[in-house]
Amino acid sequence: MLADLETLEAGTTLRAPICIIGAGAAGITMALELARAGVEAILLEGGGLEFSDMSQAIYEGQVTGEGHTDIAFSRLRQFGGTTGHWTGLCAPLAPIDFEKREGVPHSGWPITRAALDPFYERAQSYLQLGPFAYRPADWDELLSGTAWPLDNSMVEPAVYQSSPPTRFAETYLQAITDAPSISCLYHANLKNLELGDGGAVTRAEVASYSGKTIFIEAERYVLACGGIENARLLLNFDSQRTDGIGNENDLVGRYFMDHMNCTLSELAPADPQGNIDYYLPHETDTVPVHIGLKLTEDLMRREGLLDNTVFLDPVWESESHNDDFRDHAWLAFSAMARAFSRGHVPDQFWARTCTIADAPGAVFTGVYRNIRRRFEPPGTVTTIRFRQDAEQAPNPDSRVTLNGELDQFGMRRATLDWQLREEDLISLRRTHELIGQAVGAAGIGRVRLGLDIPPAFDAIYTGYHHIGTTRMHDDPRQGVVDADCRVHSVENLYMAGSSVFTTSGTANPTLTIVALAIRLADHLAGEGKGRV
Amino acid sequence: MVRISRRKVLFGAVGVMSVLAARDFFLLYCRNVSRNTPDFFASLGDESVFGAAKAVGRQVRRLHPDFGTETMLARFYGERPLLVEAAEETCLDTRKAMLQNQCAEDFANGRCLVIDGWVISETEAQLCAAVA
Repeated sequence: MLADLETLEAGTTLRAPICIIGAGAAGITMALELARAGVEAILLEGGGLEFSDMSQAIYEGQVTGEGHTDIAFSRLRQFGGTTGHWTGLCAPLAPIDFEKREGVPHSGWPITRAALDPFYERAQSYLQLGPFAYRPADWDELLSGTAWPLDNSMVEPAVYQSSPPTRFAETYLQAITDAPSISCLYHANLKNLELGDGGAVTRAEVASYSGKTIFIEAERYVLACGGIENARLLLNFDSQRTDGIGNENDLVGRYFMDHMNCTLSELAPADPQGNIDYYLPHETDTVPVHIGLKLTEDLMRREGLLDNTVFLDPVWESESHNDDFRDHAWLAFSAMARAFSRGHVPDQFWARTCTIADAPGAVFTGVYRNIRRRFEPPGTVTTIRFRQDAEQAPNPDSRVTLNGELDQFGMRRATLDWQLREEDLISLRRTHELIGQAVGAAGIGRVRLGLDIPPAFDAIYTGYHHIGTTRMHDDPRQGVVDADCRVHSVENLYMAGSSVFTTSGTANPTLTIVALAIRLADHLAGEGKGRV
Repeated sequence: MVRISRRKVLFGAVGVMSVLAARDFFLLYCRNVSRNTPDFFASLGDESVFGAAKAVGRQVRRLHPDFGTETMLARFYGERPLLVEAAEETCLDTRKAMLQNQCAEDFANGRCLVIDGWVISETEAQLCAAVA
């Protein structure tokens, strides 16, 4: 069932074993998995079925700390959530990302990568990916070019797959509507979670934009609203717990992490005509595959380094083959062109059109270069840039807090204070240096580092990945949720999404978000059966 | 309203062509500007490469004043007989290959350093410092 909350009678109380708040990648996956297991669930979405300024305005807030980030527009507050504009690059977190690493303070998940593997495997199909195959050997026969002969005790290829990217709204709306065990309400904004005497959530108060309020009574509740919103909601629920729900140890909102998105360092190839096809995007029968370079886990452990995958961006002699013109206008244009070519009217049509109109230069350049490159060979490679979403270490001072401004529902807005430490960048520099060493030993070329000591932060941008604000840890003094994603201090409240990640690793987070959502759905379905 | 005359079009075209021609001439000039790029050591007979090697060498000496000195080089060559052979080799390609092998061995053994951002081998650093 799918309904607009506005169509319900004010004061209605709906009941189900499970209530999921947030219909993004995590929430929709959980609802579908629970339906498969025969468990009824109510799925709430604060936004509508499409983008609207009214809903999106709830995400407005302040940004302090590192300047190159955003709080309002990187997320989408609508059915399908931020999958409405994600780019689709996927890989599981590496085994080392789950470990307690000596060089990485506050690291160490209470679960291992091996424990998550079966869920990663199931997550692949939700994101329309190929097989759960992320070892280079899995793709040997299918990729063009050959890997550089780098010392495999130092550097190894990293495999990523590309989702179309799956727009959860388009792909799963029908399945959600048709599932008899799912009741999905949109324009349904969570205002409060009421706690009973035993400390469990007894009721959720939910409001529409016109002020209509209804209540949800469930046995268990799941917050699946994204890395910033999950924290904002918990901190706002302070009527019964002074510092907010789950915040007894002042952890909610802390340890905010993002990937350090940057193109830094470059490789001058010894042979400008050398073949680098292996490190360029590959179209295979099943899924597009990208190969990056990363240090081996042994070397990362030995050196106490953070995780990073370097993607190689060649700069061709012929300008027409270079993609350095890409910006928001180009992304908007290419998304629209793709939608039209499939016979659809693109979503956010006017918003994207305006983005293009604001800065059409990149679109003209892009179209011109794309036409020219059909007739002009790329020539030699002049340099190869290192592009990455590098890991930052968990940092308690990097955080989401509340400020004095109120949103339409009287809830305090969020302030994002993204903090990076010098050590994060020095680790990235050392990673590039070691890659430079391996590249030099193989005679491939020489690497020039893009970071000095002390490093400058101005080349670091957000990866738009909001991670860690309700982190997972066995010890309630070090984490908000336990290994089952349950809030330590509330027996029936769970968190889903990247807010539970203990560390960010370097992989884009969506695959892990979906894998953890499946795992949580299995857990809740199993618990439910245990209760019968 | 601005009237477009034949004269204005002509001037405009000449202006655009001048800019393009100036850019091309500048690019021609750039070919002779020594760039601080690696692999500079391989053929020190090439003047532009030699210039780059000297520039890197100056950076090396600033950070490591003993690099490229006679005492240091004597010891360095003693530890790397391949370099002595390379110095006596007259074929440029063979000399280049020998030097590259020595550099690769340095890298493989972690004997490298960062100069002006470049991750280079000790061999490169010593030779550049010697010519600086």
